[in-house]
Parts: sequence; structure tokens; C-alpha cells
Amino acid sequence: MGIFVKGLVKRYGGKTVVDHIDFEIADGELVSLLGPSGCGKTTTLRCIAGLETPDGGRIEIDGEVVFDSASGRVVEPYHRNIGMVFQSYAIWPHMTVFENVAFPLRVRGAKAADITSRVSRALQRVGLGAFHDRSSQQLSGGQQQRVAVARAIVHEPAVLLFDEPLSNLDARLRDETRAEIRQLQHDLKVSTIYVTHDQTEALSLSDRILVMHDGLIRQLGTPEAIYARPNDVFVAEVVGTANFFNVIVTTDGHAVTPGGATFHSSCLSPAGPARAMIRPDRLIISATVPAPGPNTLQGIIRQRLFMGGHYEYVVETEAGSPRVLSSDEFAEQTPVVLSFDAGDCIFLPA
Amino acid sequence: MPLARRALLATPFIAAASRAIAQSTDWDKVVDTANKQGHLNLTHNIPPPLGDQWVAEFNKEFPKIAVEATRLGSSELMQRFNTEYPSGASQTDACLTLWDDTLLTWASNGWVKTWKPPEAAAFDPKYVIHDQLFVIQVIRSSLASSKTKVKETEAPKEWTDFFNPKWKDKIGMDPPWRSVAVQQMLAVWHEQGMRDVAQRLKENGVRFFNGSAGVVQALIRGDIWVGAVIEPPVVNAMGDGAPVRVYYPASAVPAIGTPAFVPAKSPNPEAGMVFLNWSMSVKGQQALQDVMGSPVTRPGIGDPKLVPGIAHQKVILSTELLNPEKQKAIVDEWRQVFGLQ
Amino acid sequence: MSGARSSAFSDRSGGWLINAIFVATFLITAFLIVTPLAALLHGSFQTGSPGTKTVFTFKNWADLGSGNIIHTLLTTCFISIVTAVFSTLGGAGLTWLVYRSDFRFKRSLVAAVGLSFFFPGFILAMAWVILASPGGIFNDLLDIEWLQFDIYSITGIIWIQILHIIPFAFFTLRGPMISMDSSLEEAGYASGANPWAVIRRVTLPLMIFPLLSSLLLCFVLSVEQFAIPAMVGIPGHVNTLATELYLLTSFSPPNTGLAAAVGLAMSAVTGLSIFLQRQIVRRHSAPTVTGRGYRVRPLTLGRWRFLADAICLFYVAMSFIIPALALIYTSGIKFFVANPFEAAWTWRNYGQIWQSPGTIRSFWNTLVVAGGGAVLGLTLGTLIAWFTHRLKPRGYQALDALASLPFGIPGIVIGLGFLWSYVYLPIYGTLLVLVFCYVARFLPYATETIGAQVVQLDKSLEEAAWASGANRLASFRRIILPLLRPALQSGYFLLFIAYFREVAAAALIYTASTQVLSISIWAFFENANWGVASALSIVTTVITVTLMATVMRAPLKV
Repeated sequence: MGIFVKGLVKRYGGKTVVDHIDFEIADGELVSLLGPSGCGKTTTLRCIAGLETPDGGRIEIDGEVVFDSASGRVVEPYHRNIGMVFQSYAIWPHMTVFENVAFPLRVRGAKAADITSRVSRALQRVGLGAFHDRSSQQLSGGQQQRVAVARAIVHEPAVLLFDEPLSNLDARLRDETRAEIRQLQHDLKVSTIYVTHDQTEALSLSDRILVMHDGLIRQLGTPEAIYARPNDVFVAEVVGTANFFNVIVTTDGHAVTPGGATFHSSCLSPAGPARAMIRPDRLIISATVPAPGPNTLQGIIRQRLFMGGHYEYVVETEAGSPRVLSSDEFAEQTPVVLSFDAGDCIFLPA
Repeated sequence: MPLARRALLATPFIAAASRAIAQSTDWDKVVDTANKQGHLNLTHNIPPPLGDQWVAEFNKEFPKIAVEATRLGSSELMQRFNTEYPSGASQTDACLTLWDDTLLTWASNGWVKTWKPPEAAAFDPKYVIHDQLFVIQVIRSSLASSKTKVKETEAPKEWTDFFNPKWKDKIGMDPPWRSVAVQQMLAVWHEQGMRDVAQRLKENGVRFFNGSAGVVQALIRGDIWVGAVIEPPVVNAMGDGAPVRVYYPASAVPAIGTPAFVPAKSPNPEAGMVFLNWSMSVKGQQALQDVMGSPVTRPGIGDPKLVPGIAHQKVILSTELLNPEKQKAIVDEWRQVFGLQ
Repeated sequence: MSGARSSAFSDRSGGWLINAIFVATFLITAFLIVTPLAALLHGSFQTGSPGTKTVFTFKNWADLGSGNIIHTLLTTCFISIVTAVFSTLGGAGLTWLVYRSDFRFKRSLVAAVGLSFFFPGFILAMAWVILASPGGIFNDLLDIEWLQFDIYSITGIIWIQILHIIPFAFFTLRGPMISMDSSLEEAGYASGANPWAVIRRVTLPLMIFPLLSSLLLCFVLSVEQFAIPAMVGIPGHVNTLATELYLLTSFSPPNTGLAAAVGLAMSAVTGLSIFLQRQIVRRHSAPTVTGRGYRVRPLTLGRWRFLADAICLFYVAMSFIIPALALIYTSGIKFFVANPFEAAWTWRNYGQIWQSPGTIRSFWNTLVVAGGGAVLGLTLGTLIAWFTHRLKPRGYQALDALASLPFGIPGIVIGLGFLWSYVYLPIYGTLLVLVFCYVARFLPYATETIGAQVVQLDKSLEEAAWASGANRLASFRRIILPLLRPALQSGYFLLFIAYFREVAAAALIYTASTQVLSISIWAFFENANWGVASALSIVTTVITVTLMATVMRAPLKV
């Protein structure tokens, strides 16, 4: 059940956009495809939807093979039991809200009474219960987006596909909608692929995240795992903000900065040049003079940004100028000491 | 006179009479067949709506024959027949058009029926060509001028007046490539000794219009004051009371015949024959003349209503003067002078 | 990114039904267009017309390079380029005013444009000859020494052609102008650009495909124009390719071989232009109809209102009101007099219409050919546009090329081709030949109009339908067709009028039973019976307008 992808390849002209990727999505699981534009995430989604024909590989949806290059089997998108929300919403301008949402049921030959009740339910789920007869041309962006979601779920598909659905909304709407999507998906328990370039969405919504770059999977794991233990610099930056320090790893879990400070990490890594990664929220900032020791850095606050619930500082040290989050208030140009736990420091390949 | 002698003297008359009776019985059969066919496809180049008016007269005498008329300009008509007939697609039962030597080619190809319409006997033989083509009307060129812009005393009466510089930028004509009638007129001018006509007219600012009808229109409107025209447009205009007058130069009147014929193969041959014969009858000829304004060729029909008849004019037919080489030479010269291929 | 061919989903055959439709479309188009062209090609290597004794020759093609033909070509190009530019600008301006601003006389303007659409070129030319010839009304009334109008000139031709062709530009730009998403312009205003700048930098560039399309259409329409240069150019010794062809085919001695050569050469040139245009556009077409915020917020004209009103009034007067008045006047008098008070008024002209059985029959024929034929033409055009712009199955470029071929061939030359090729077929002499001829001749009008709108439809609208479970046919029917409706309506209108007005092509293939109104009017007209020609024009206009009004109001339900 769920979605099964093996050896998926897609080329455009001479360029390989999706390069032999494998992954599985369990029944009811929400997996985000996260990466910068051009990494192949949208293409992957469209291959699963059937809107693109891969050049190789095998795709199964809900146990049914919908694409297999070996046997040549290809199932048309309208015969795959999917629901898809497009980035542009693709709400049909010549139909009412009701008609838009009813469409998947109509083409499946549902009866009128059935349609009415299911459409009402879908609209209510997305909070547009009163919008039945609105012309789709009168809707705001957020409302259109909800209609798109309602349309994608009304026929209870086996799989839900989201293509950057929140990218055109304002921040607050995005936050609200994000939470609602999460709730919806939980309630429906439907396997979902969610394509986004926004790490916050990926982190908050996903059961697992699939980080992609240049057509390849860089890392696949739960948000916490990826956040705390990225495989490399790229993944580290894609999932959250990261501070990097150039260090030389001396022995397992020990490294020195050019300025002589010592870093202890709980992760093992080979000796040699490396990049030490520490999240901004894991650096503790204090004005008191510390006891010298590993995992401390002296620095001066160069910039302070008030973020509402906390401050974001840029602190200049001998090993770099990391960003630090703190709810404490310090004035700029204050000398401070940064410290961190060994568990929050990872050595990544340079 | 002894009976035998009388009988002997009477024999030629009886013979002629019986021949006439025999002929008319044959002809009656033709008319019967035509009536049974009940349908006639007529192709002609008479300007609308005159063609319909003429056909209406025909239907007064032959109400059983429904006429479907296709009206085309003479050039297009020739082309159409030229393409349709050899491929067997021609539906024409009877045809009337302006004289063109191609007609002779068709005749010699056997595309045109050879027969003797009863009415043809009344015509001057020069209008009956090989018993195939029957010239039933003569269209003439003349000099027209606007009554409002040109005083009677100054009106051009001779071809040479056409070139008078006082009409500069105010003269108009149908160009020769449009009309064989104009080519005939130019050939006549050439015969009269006029040379470099195209160049001289160009210098005098001549304007071209779409056919004689266009020239007449322009005259009435006042775009031009003097024009070279053919009937019937100018006659019709005069009939309406339009302020134009015509003069037929005494030196020569260029003219072109309008032959009628029945194709050798056609859907309703007898209907075609009946129509052609009628067009040569007194009633048919009179109707044609009344409608078109140009003189018909049957002797005994009076003069046209608004313009002089041909009796006292020096009429020169295109058949006497024109041939394809001359036509081409004229058209080429004019196209050259006026910068057209 | 995924734009190289449209959704790779269509790389596969997409079902046998789609394939079958494509093949059928291709074959029909090929038959309609190749047959007359082949006949023309054959004819261009002959010394005479079919049926006469002819021999093979290269002379016709050699004659193409003669000085006179080149001169005529240059004249034609000059006239047509100027006409195309101003007609497109005029059409764009008018559609913009009507559909994207708060211009207050929208309905009237559209009605006026629609009505002036009905005027065949020679009617407009006739009206303007009455008005602006040396002996015309303007000169008579104004009587100013130094301001003498002479419509018999290149300027005259250009002027009348612009008035004549603006409605075409209007109707081809209407669909795209209506459908453009306002937020794209609003982004411009928000960026600090005033309306003029937004028009220049946002609206116009976004409309490049439709504008180029329209420009090309206008150019070709102008090149093909026969009636206007014939009426107004010949007296002024201005010759265009169309009148040249008319001379070559219609008058003795005819040179149909050269006409065929010229026609084919013209077609090659315009075919090339269309190909280039498509290439350019491929890089610039951005879908402006998305599923999002499809809304048109009209721009407030404010002070500019009066200028807009004045310009529109001027246009309507020049292209519709004054010619209509001239027409009515001419239909009621026996012969022309500049002063209406001195004219001989009569009902005779109207009476003569009903006395001619051929004319009566032509009413019905026109209904069938224009009304019914336009449906066929539109269907074929829509299919072709859809295949060439969206589905792009293998061989679509060939179909595209085929469908564009008739673009540059003047009506009279296509008529010639149809005459030569169809004369051997049993349908010769029936209305079907006329319908086929018109469908073939005007196919590019349909494909361009529909195509301009197809390109503007965002792919995601259709993909959403597929993702929702509708197969291709259902998606096309329920989503695409309704969205294409403005273009379909414009397209039908355009085709109907084009079929209705066509004279040159019909003149060579009609017979008594298949005579159409345009031929009737032209025949009266050519014999300077402007009275009856005007009367007939008025009668037909009234009837067709009523018909079209009914059609336009009917909702498109498939």
C-alpha cells in the first residue's frame, strides 16, 4: 500500500532530472520532497501523478503498478486514483466552487445526491461550507487553495499529491493552512507526497522528509533525524539554518578551530578538514566570562534582530560569524561567550 | 393559263411551301422536346439585371422552360467554358458572349453545334458564322461627356477630340486589357493614323475604370468629364436621366459583335436551340435591343431608343480588324506604357 | 522546465481515438489544401489554362523576376505593411478600450465594429469613392482650393483598407484581451508604472503572440485585397499583386500560368513568414490565463475618457456610419448626384432584387455556405489548433504547415486551383465545392484565432482535470471548450463573415444554382449598377446581422 518508487529516471533533452531514485511511502504517511528549484522534486511528483512519463523505473500506487519501464505498462493519470493540488490551484474559472469540487465525482459517474453530500462534506472540511455557489472568479487566493484541496480529497483517493500549495499565500495564511493540511491528512489517513522548497513546511508537516538535489536523494528520514543529523552540508542547510565552522578533526569526536578552540562532538568522523555544524538555537549566549574549555567560543555581537518571540544575533568569533537565537537581550558590540553541547555539534564533510 | 402549266409554275412554290412545312414541323418537334425538357442553362455576359429582364421576355413566349442563368464577364466566361467543356463538366445549353477569336477555335474543335435556326434566314450572312456562331447584337464604342461639366458646344465629337489637352486629368476609359471592345477601338484609331496613343493619353492624365460602367459612373460623379464608353451602361444611365451625352464619331464607330451559340453537347440541347432561335426572332431581338440599348443585327428592327442606329454609321467590326497578334500587341504596348506586366 | 513538448503524457499516443481523430484531421486538411495547390503547381508550368492546348514551360516562373512584377510586389508590400501596422494598433486599441477599461460605450462600439465587419471591401470602397473622389461629396461640399481629396491614390487604398481590416484585428485580439489576468497589469501599477507604461511594458509584451498573429493576419488580408485596390487603385494607376492577378486571369489574353506562379510564390513567402512568427513566439508565449485570479479589473479612464470617446466616434463614423449613409443614399437614387436634394429618388433598386430569381436563390445559398460552412471550418480549425499547440503528436508540424499554406494565396488564385482540380469531380457545380473552397481558403483564420487562445490556457487547468479522473476527451469537453468559448465565438463570426464576403474565389467556381450573395452584389457593382448593389447590400446586411445576433447569444453547450 502507499506509494512505491524504484529506479525512477526522467530526462529532458540531455539532462537527467531524476536520477534513479528509490523510496517508499507507507499507507497514511506524509512525505515531503524538499529541495531547491531544479532538484527534480516536482518532476518526481508529476511522474507519480502520471503527468510525466518517466524514462525508466517502476511506480506503484496503492499496490497497483502504474508505471513499469520493464514491461512497458503505463496507466493514464485519470485512471490512477490520485488527488492533486497544483501550485497555481488550477481552479476552473468557468465553474462555481461546487462544480469545481464535484468534478472528480461527476467524471466517475457518481449519483447526484451522492455528489451533493460528498461535496458539502469536502467543502466543510476545508472550511468553505458556505461557498457552494460562489463563482470561482470571486475567490481570494486562500479560498481558491482550499477549493483545490477540497477537489483533491472529495473522491477519497488512494494518494494525495501537493505541488507547493502554500507558496502563493501570505505568511499568516500559510501558517494557518499548514496546520489545517496536517490535520486533514491525519484525519483522512491518506498517503501524501508534499513537494516544497520551504523547510518550515517540510519540518512541520512531514512524517518523513526526502531531501533532493540534482535529481538524487540526499537524505531520507524523519524531520528530527534530518534536522539533528544531516548527512552533509547541503542537507544541513536545506533543513533549517546552520552555522558552519571550519575545523580540523584530530580524533573521533574531537576537532580544533584555526584559532585553537576545541570542539567535542558526539558523532564520529574521520580525521582531517571538516565543517562543524551547530544550529543557531543550540548556541548558548552569555555575557559572563566562562571557564575555558571545549565547546566554547569568545565573540562580539555584531548584529541584533528582534524577531518577536526572541532575538537573532550575529556573533563574530575567531572561528566564524554564527547566527545565534536567544530570548535574552544583549546590546550590539557586547563581548559574549558562545557555548554548546557535544550532542549539538556535528562534523560534516568539507 | 392551262392547268398543267399552272401546276408546273406552282411546283417551286409548292416545293418551297412543303419544304417550309416540313421544316416547321421539324421545328415544332424541337420546340416540343424543349418544352418537355422544361429547363435551360443559359450562360451569358449581359450585365445584371438586364439579363433577367431579357429572359423574362423569353418566358412570356415559352413559359414551360425554366431558365437558370449564369452571368460572367466575357473573359471569365470564355475561361470557364474552356475548362468545363473538355472535361465534360459543362452544363451550358446556350451561350452569349462578346466576340473572341477563341470561339473560332472552339468551333473548329467541334465544341459548337452546327445547325440552321429558322430565324437565321432573315440575317445578313456576315452575322452567321459557319452556321455555328450567330452574331445577334453589336456593341459600339462612343465618346461620352458630362452634361454638367462640359457644354454642348465643347463636347468631343471625334476621336481626336479625346486627346485635347483642355481635358487633362479629366478623361477616362476602360483599359484595353480589360475589354476586347477597347482593343477594337484602339485598332480603329490606329487605322485612322493615330500613333503613340498610350503615351499621349498618359500625358493627358487618363484614368482607368472598371469597365465602361465604371467610366459612366465616374462621368456622372464628375471625377472625369470625358470618357470612351460602350453601350449599354451609358444608355441605361441616359435612360435614367443622368447628365451624360454620347457622340458616335462620323469617322468610324468601332464595334464588336455578341455571338450566341449552342454547345455541341449539352444537357438540354433542344431548349438551347429554342432559346437561340428566339433570340434571333423579331420579339427576341426587339427585347434585347430595348433592354441593352445596343443595336441588334436583325434587319427591320428599328433604331435603339436613346442612341442612333447603325444604319448611317461607319461601323467597323472587330472581326474585320482584330486578330490575336494585334490584340496582344495593343495590350503589351499599353501595359508597357502604364507600367504593368 | 517541462515545456519542451507539452506534458510528456501526450508523448504516448493518448488513446486510439485521439490518434484516429488526428489522422482524420490530417487527411481532410491535406485533401482540401493540397488538391488545388497541386493543380496550381501543374498550371504554373503550363503555357495555357487546362482545356486549351498547352505545353510545359518555365517561362511563367522566369517572368516572376520581371521589373513590373517586382514593382507591383513592392507597392503591395508597402501598402500592406502600413495597413497591417495601423490596423493592428487600431484593433488593439479598440479591444483594450472595450474589454480592459471603463469606456462607456462598449456595447455600441462592439456593435459598430461588428456591423462594419459585414461590409465587403468593395462596399466600403464604393462609399469612399462617393465621398472622396475628385467629383465626390467632400470636394463638392467643402470646395476648398488647396484641400482636394483624391481617393484614387496609394493613401486612399491604405485608408480604406485600414478601416476595412480593423474589425478583423478586433476580433482576433478580442479573446486574448478578455482573458488576460489583471493581476499581471496590477503588478505593473504596484511597481510604480503609470497606465501608459504598463500598457507598453506589461500588456503589450504579454500580448505578443496575439499581436503578432493579428499583424500577420492583417498583412495577409491586405495583400489579398482585391476589391479596394481595383476600385480605387486602378484609376490612380496604382497596381497591387491582387489586381495584377485579376488582370492575368480575367481578361484576354489571360495568363493563368503566370497567375498560378505568382500565387504560389506569394504563398511560399507568407508561409515562411508564418513559420518565422511561430518560431519567435515559441520563446515568448506566457500563459496569462491561469486558474488563479482570472479577473479583469477595468482601468479607469478619467480625463482620457473624452479623447477615447472622440477617437471611437471618429472610427465608427469613418468605417460604418458614413459608409452606411452613403450606401443607403445610393440605394435610393437612380444615379449619383452630390446634393441629395437634387437626386432622383426611387424604390426601383430594391424592387429589382426580388425580380431576379438568381438573387433570391443566392440568399439561401449564402446561408448554407457561410452559416453551415463556417461550422465545418471552425471545427476543423479548432482540432488543428488543439493538435498543433497542445497535443503535438508526431507529425503535428506537418499539419501546422499544411494549415498555414492557404494563408498567402489570394482568393482568386485558390478559386483557380479549385476550378482546375474539382472540375473533374462529381461535386463540381454543387454548394459543396464552394464550402470546401472556403474552408480551405480561410482555414488559417480559424487556426490562428483559436490558437491564440489555446496558447493562453495554462496547462495545469487540463492537468487538474486529468488528475481528477477525467480522460482527455472529457477534459477537453468540460474544461477546455468552455474556456475557449470567446475564441470560438470570435472564430465563427470571423469565418462567417469571411465566407460571406468572399468574391474572388467564388467567381470562378459558382454556377447558376450555387450563386452566392457576394457574387450577386459584385456583379451588380461591377456593372456600375451601384443602386441595386447598395440595395442588395443593405438587405443582406440586415438579414445577416439579425442572424448573427441570434447566434452570438446562444450559449455554447457541448
